[in-house]
Amino acid sequence: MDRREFLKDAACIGCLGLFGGCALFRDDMRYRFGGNLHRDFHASILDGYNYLKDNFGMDAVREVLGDLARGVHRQMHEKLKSGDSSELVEHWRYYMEREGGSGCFSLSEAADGSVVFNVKSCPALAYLAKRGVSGGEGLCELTRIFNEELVKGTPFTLETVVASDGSCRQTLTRKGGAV
Amino acid sequence: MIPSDQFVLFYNEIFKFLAGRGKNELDRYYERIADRQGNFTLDKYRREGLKGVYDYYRRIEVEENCELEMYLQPDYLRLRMTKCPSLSKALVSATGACPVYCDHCPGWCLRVLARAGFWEVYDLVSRTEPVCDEWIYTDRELCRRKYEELLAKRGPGLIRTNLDIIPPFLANKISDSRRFEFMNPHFPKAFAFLRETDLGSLPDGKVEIDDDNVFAFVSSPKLSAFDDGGEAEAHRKYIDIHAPIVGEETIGTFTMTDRELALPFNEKDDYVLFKAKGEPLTLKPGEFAMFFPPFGGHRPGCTMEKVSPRGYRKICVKVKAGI
Repeated sequence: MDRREFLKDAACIGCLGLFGGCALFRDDMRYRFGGNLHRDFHASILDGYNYLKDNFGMDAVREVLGDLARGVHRQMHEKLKSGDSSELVEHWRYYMEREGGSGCFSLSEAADGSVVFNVKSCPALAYLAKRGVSGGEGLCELTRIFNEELVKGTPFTLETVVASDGSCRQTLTRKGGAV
Repeated sequence: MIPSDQFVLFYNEIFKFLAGRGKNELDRYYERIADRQGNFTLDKYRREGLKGVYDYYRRIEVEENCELEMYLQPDYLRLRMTKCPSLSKALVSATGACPVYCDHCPGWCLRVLARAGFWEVYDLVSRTEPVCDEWIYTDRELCRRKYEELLAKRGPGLIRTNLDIIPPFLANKISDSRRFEFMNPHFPKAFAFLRETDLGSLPDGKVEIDDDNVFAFVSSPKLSAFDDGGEAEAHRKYIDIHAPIVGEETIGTFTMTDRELALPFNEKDDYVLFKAKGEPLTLKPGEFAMFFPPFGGHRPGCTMEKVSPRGYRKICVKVKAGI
């Protein structure tokens, strides 16, 4: 097994591995999917959101996103409950870079676990626009609801503010504190 | 942003939500997925045949990180998924895979293939192992034989087929239309007319073919930009077969929902009109699309160009349905 394969496997099982032969590589993010990227799934996500909204209403959207945020992403949610935002930060960083958004976002973390995640150009919206798929703002709404559901029962709030150009600012704030 | 990599995790939760509301809700969602997926697949399938299906899956194999074996034969395509990336992801979800997760794949694939004029047998093999088997045919009888063979061997639990699906619409080449004549007793006359007539020599107006069983209208309509939206229609007594004579036409296609089916229907003239956009299907001369009552909603008379092309002419053959 060469080093790249080893690192990929190590990442997949969330263990500790040697990175670059010198630095310790710690990976405890539950879903670190690799391989090729199928960006058409952004359109499928939007369609799933629209289907739920159109046929069952926003309560259904919230129910499914609640299951996604606190069930599927239970590990990230539990960490947030304990005041640890590290997995959420790693999730944002890893998937923005993987979606080709390197240089399009910034993350600033405070010592109390609060974080500001600025997205100048969203890779998902850019892809939908390139494909001529309309209604991309649905993905922003989906993100906003997911974020709200993710921090339910945690000592954080997570505010999502989307500008008209599709850029957004997601602010994770410890309740009673300030970033 | 929900990462595109995590689509399956979201999808899996949607299936659980819908499964809790009954199988019918899952079927409605599969129909919707088929409407959407038709955008990515239908043109390739109906124009390039089994080779088009093969090429599509070769692309998906790479993009979606599948492990897939395929064998393309003149009259069928065999697919064997040896590592399904979709179920693999659903299985690692902290909430587990929806018990009927695998059903979505035949749920939409069988429907899209029916719209492109293919018949398929789909063996889910297992709901907990990321493997499945498919056989896609251009010949319906071959498909039926394979279906019966698999039923006898494995029972009906994990075997699916589209042999008895009447799709909302079906698009294909006029030259290949004999394959679909079994679907209605008047189709042999309707398709023989389309195959054997010099359509370009027909003047605009009504064409008598077989009394009130089969007749047609030739017209030279002005086409509207597809994205501008407009009125869609559906019928109950007649199947529409649309075929361009000169130029291209885009038709908005969609599966009628319960809400649209409940709209006031003009029984005398056999239509209901309503606002809808649908998914675009572009036809060229030599191609046709037929829309089956009651689910085959359609919005004809569109173009993907910004202005209507000059000289466009078409024929719409009306075939009595519900026999």
